[in-house]
Amino acid sequence: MGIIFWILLTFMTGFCSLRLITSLDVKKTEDRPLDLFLAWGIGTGITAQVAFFSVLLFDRFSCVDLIALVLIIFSLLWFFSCKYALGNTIRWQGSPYIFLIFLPVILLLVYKQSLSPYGDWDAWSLWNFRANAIFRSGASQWGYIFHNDTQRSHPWLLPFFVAWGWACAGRETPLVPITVATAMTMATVGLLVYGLQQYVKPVVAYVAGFFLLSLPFFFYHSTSQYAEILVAFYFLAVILCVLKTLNSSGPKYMILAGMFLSFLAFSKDEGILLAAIALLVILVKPGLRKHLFQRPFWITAGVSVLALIICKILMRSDILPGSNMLHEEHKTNIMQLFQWTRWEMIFLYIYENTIWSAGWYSLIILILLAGFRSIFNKSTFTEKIIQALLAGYCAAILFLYIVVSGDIRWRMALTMNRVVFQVAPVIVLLVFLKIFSRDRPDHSSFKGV
Amino acid sequence: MPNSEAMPLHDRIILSLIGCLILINFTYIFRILPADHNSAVPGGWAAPLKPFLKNVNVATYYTDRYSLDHPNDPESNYFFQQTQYTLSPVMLFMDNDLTREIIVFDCKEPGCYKDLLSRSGHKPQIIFNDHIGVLRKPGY
Repeated sequence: MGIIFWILLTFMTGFCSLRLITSLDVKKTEDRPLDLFLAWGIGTGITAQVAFFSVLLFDRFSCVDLIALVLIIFSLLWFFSCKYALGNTIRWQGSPYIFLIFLPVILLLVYKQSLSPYGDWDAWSLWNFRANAIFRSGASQWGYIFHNDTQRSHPWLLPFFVAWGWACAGRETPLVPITVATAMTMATVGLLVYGLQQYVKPVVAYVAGFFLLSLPFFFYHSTSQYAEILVAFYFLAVILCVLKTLNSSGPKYMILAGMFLSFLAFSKDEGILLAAIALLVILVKPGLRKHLFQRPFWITAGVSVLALIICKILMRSDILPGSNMLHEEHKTNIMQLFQWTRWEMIFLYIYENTIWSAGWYSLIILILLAGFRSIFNKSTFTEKIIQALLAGYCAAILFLYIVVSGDIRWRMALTMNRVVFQVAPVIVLLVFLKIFSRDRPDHSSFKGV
Repeated sequence: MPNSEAMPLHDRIILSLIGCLILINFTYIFRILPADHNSAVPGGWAAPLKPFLKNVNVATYYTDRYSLDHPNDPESNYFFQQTQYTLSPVMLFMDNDLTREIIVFDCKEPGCYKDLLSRSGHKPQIIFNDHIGVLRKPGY
């Protein structure tokens, strides 16, 4: 019962926020069902941050206080959305019932999770471990949670969201992280399917959703209860909101993009990198840049950025009581950029391990197909934005692999597949756009571009 | 918005090819799915510590993941235990050589882990405080 309450409250918080943001728009149009999946992402981010700030506010993690706080915020959002969003137009794009064709895959995901209910290694030694620490911290003890693990660099959205779920459930049940993993996976697929339907036929969009789920590493890692699925979801959400901004004249989707950028940064360190690259791309494009200087963008992004800054300060300083853990910092050496052997090791590793062992070969085939089509079809503005983002991220990751000292092969063994996992939904979006998109708007004539 | 015309033949061919890839991928997933469950192999590089763990005075024991995944394996239950300190909930665990590198443990008696480690021959690499220590696997 508590879990159902948690799911409903999280979703409704996000939904009311979305309705309120829509009311700021000129057109005041809510696009179902894409908005429903965006609402889940908003609710996840907001409730996780409320949990984070409640610890700072009350000097402890209190289930009752947190639930009360979220209920107050939800009530306010509900009140204002009813007051201002009454005139919103609902537009149905595609049939939401068709999403039921994914039911067999959902059951498969649930079965897979039942085989390992506590997720993979980093789930219970890092992400859920942190959630344990949050949930169990008493008065004035919450400072310890930022020091008592060996990887204190990653931000804390997932642990606080899991702790919020446990607060509603009243106990540390594995059902909460299982639900988070499954819900975020299907929300990512839902974003891809209904986001793609803006540009391609519905059947193509559904095939794209199945294709993403069929990628072996994506299927397995999405249920590992790691934070990468959050990064994948929020990065895709940012892309879709940026693309929707190009199609509309109002600020709604740019405000949402700002919100998702900040949630992305609060999910994981790679999220910070992706958010920074996305912000750079937005700054470069005049059609998008003008929205950056509007107040709603910075208000929605600012809360999460504030949470992230506080989080990073707490983790790196001695402000709070707790152990002074000697965290091993990674050394960097910029001169390693000129060592050919390191480059060779990277590309050899990708060829020998990543493509075949994790099953990314089918994605490679699609990328080659898309590349072949590019010879005959000029890239649209939409595709160029996505390509710029992916190229920037790829370059940043390669740079980090080269300059950070240590065993490259060990680091790649741990991280390479997860790096691809985080951007896999966006890669699938791009290749399907390149191959199948026909009636796409010509953004080269978009005002301000 | 996508047009309502019939899909061109080459698009249908590509879509069929993608459909085949999806089938191949799911076949692969189905084949390896039943074999994918956590395999806790007690021992490994930290096995010498086992005799000394009996002397570690930890407040309470709470068997977590391994007990559910391997209900018939008392060794796994012994090796994976989680304290219920509200102050510093850390996990006491051991795993095989294929996985990560640390043992984190918490003792009721200050400094007991130092005695534990010195008797086992392992050297502590990260020390939280008098109660908590981290032993990092050699090479990490």
